[in-house]
Amino acid sequence: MNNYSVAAATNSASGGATEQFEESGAALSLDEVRTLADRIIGNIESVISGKHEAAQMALTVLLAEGHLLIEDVPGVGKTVLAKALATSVNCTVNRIQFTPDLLPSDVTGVSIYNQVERRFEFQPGAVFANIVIGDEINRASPKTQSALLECMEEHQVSVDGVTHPLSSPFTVIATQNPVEMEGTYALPEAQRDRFMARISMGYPDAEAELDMLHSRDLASPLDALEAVATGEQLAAMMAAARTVFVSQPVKQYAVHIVQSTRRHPELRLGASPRATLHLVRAAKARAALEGREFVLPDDIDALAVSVLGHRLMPTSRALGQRGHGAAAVADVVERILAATPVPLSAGA
Amino acid sequence: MTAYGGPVAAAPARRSSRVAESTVPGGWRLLLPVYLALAVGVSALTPVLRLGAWLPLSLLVVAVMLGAGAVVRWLGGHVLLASGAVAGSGLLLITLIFGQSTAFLGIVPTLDTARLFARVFEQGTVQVVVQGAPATPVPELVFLVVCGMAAVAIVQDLLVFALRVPALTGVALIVLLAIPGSVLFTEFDLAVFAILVALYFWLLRADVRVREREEWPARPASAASSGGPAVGRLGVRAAALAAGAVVVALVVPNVVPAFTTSGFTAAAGTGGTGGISSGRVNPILNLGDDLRRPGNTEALQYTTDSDEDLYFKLATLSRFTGRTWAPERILPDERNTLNGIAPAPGLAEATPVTEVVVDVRVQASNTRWLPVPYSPTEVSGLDGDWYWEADGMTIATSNASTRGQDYRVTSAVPQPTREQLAGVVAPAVPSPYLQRNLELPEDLPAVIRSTAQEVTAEATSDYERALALQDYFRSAEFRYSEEAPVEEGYDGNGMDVIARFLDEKIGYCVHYASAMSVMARALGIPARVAVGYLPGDRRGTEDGRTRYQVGTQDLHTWPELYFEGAGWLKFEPTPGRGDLAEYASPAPVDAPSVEPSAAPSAAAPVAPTTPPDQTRNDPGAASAASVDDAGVPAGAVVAALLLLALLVPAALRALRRSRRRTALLRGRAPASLAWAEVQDTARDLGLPVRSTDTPRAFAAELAERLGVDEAAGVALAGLLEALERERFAAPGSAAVVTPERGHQLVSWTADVSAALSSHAPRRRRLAAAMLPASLVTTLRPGRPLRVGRPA
Repeated sequence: MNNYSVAAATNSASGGATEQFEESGAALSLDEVRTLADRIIGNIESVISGKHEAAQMALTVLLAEGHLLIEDVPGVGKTVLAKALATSVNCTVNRIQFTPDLLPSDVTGVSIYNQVERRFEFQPGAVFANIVIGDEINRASPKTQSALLECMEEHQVSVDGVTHPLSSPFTVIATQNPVEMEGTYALPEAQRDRFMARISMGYPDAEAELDMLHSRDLASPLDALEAVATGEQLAAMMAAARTVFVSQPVKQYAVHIVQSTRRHPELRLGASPRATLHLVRAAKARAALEGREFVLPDDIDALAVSVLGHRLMPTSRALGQRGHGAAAVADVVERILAATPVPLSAGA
Repeated sequence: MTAYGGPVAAAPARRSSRVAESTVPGGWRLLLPVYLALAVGVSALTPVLRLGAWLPLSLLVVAVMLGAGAVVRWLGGHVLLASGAVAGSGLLLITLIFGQSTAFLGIVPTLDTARLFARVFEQGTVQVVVQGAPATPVPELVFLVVCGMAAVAIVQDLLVFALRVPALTGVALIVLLAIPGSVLFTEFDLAVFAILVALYFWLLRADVRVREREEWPARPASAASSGGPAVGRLGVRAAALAAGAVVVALVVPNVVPAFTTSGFTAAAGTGGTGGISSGRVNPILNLGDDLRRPGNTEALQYTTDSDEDLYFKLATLSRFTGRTWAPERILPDERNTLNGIAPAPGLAEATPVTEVVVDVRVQASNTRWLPVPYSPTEVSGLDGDWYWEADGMTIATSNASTRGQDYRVTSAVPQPTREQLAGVVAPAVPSPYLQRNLELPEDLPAVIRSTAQEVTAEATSDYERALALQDYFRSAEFRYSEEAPVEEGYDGNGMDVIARFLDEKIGYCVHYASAMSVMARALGIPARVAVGYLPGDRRGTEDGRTRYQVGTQDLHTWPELYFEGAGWLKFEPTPGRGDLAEYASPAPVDAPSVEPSAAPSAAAPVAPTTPPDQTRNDPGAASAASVDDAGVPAGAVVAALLLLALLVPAALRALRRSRRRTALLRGRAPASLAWAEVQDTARDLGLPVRSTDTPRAFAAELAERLGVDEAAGVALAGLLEALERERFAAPGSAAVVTPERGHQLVSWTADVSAALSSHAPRRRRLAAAMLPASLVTTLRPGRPLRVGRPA
């Protein structure tokens, strides 16, 4: 009955069971977080070289308990990145290949009548995993898209009046082709807002591409990839990231940047308050990745384009002047950053 | 297929994008102090110009001009367009007021208007030259003042709104303020000065506020108080800047002799080397400066067949105000053409005169007064319109200058006999003419009168009294020095200066001449002061005539005393300078004098018992060394003061640095203070310090500049870590502020600062030391985003 392709992850215990990793007894220190993070990123980079920043960004979003949208042209390694990240952590991974005929129940699960036991049984859908890779999410119909996006926000699935909690941690890594490609349904603004960050991969440089030719010669390097962290460790890392301190000036800085997007003449739609929340949460995760126990304005700077970019809508004039969507928006955000003073002391 | 150019993720944005600023918000905040300062500035002209239409007209024109600029800016016009509006409205308004009849529609200037204005301007400059202060506001002068104020308004508007350097507006204000000082030899009007300073402060403060507004537009209240540089510190900076400017403004005009010549009077077109040669209203004022100026340029050359030592008189100062000797306020009477020069006043036909014919070639001397021996009877060969003045028998021009003139003057030099003079009895009731030459201020210091009476106690006639006064000054008690009065602070010719001079007994011709004149008046002898040149040095003969060379160091003043029947007679109280006329030499009165032609030796300089400091009149002895000596101290004072003024910014910066250092060393200050010091050092060196940069970004920029400098890199990283921890980490996790910690921070700061300046080019380093930019610039964020109306 699985008319969608769900590739159970190689190292997952089971495709269906709801796996709940609880924070293991000993809390991780931030130094340990950094060590682990370096190991995970190194693992990812062994598969997909020259994409350190994309890998770091993906891990940042994972630690911040957000969802990641990877948007780029086909064939630059979106799925490989998603898979490598998922594989590096020993947890359940499901992959959904979105197609126009994919149904919401394929994603969330469905209740089936068990003739033996003479009752309805819930068959969990593909979202019941710690890491869900939604491939080409913009190829699915809006109805299916919104089914997934509801899960992302609520961290639970309600079918036939029964609420089923999703795995914890739960992260969706969705990939999509740019909207101007054929046969796509663009994600509405409200749904894009659910993603913590959008990144693009970019083409590899010549060296990395050459390197890729060599490593892909015989087999997919993904096959040889092993997990370097357990699900418990991931949960502990997330917990540690939550303890990172955000000072008043940095909060002000984040707020000021987000508010500037709402006033900016070249933007039709500014960032939501949820964006502020995501920005600060991602900044905390980034600080944790670097083993720092407090957030710097630099974290905000480094994340602003990725976290805010997909939520903003440029005016047609800005689009005309600054090129296509993502580039125009990135340009505006960078200019906002360049014009926002960095507060050095807390407000009175 | 479109592809994304590159990874957008993660990379911190390079912060280079700037949006050009469009208009100046809050322009009225700046407009008000600018206008008020101009209004006060123009009112400061009242000592030189009697009240009249010029004041309201200037105020009106300036108001309309600044207003026009403000309206254009308010409508969103470009700042340069606004400046154009300022200039244009000024031109139209001035045309409307002064040139209506020639203008198209009464307001649009035409070619005729330009011609009219050129003519009026020329006449106005003549008025500047010929009128004594305070001048009567004739229409030409009103035009000149209004045009001047319009020009100043244009400049101020440009400086404040287009160039955004309001600090420079002080220059124009100081020039306005300096005009009365340069013309009248009075001090600044202190009240006006204080008001201007206050307005200047206000303008700077307002500018700082406006800048703040531009840079942090519409910020949330909580962020506004924390994001920008502290408002108080900005205020202090503005105040420090203004204070520095005020100090310089106070010092410069008073110590640079040539400074004022570039002011108002130079506009008269007769500007020269300054002082007497610049054609100012009162020639005595800068005579001391001219004498003290190092070097001796050739003023004029003459040949004569006379054996007389000829004093060349330029001007007569017969009005004693108590503060200074000034010329009578008399416009040259244009009926007094040189065709018929009247005889000198008071000279009876019976009094013997010596006719001298002198051919004069004027070299550097550039004034409106013609140097002629007293009293001229005939002058020929002059270019331009020249007129004689009946009182002082001086010759002046209204539209030319002496420079390059080549002329022949015939003078009748009065040679009264001693007997004649001894027998002169002053009339019991002096004529109104003489009465004017006897006027003394009521509050004349008693010492002048008592000294005069003491010195002349034994004399029986006015003539003997005059000789006694002259002898008194030429006695061993008095010494000649051009420097001493300046150093002692009593340079000048007012009555207080004279009183001081009588006590100190050291000075130069201005003191001797004015003292003797005032004392003669006190004794009832009409007296006045003449300004001109000494006879100069003999330079051989030419066709049987003796050639003389007169230099600028021969500038001189001497008293002229009036004796019934003989008229005005020159005396020479200055020891070691000039020559005594036959009648004025101290030969015993009872010894009958020989005929004048046989007494050239008697007319030789009478050496005072004490050799004067300078005997420049003595050919050969007038060594260059003594001239240089005269120039050095004044120059040194000027240089020292300038140097001092130049060092003010460096000193302020050093003070700030050392205060921070002390605070850090005592463990009283957080790491952010050390960081601020690094930022200031960077600013001094011209590196960009932006408030929109995170500390880390700033450090990265510095590190890039420092290259592989290991120690400095470590220090920079240390400082950065300390600052970030202090500012952004959870409370309590930052290092405790202790003296040890302070030492560490100080040494890091020193390392980074030293490395930064060692990487800077020499020119930058010098600029950083002398003109630290951190004293004035504030945190400079990226230009504000242009906030436009939503599309």
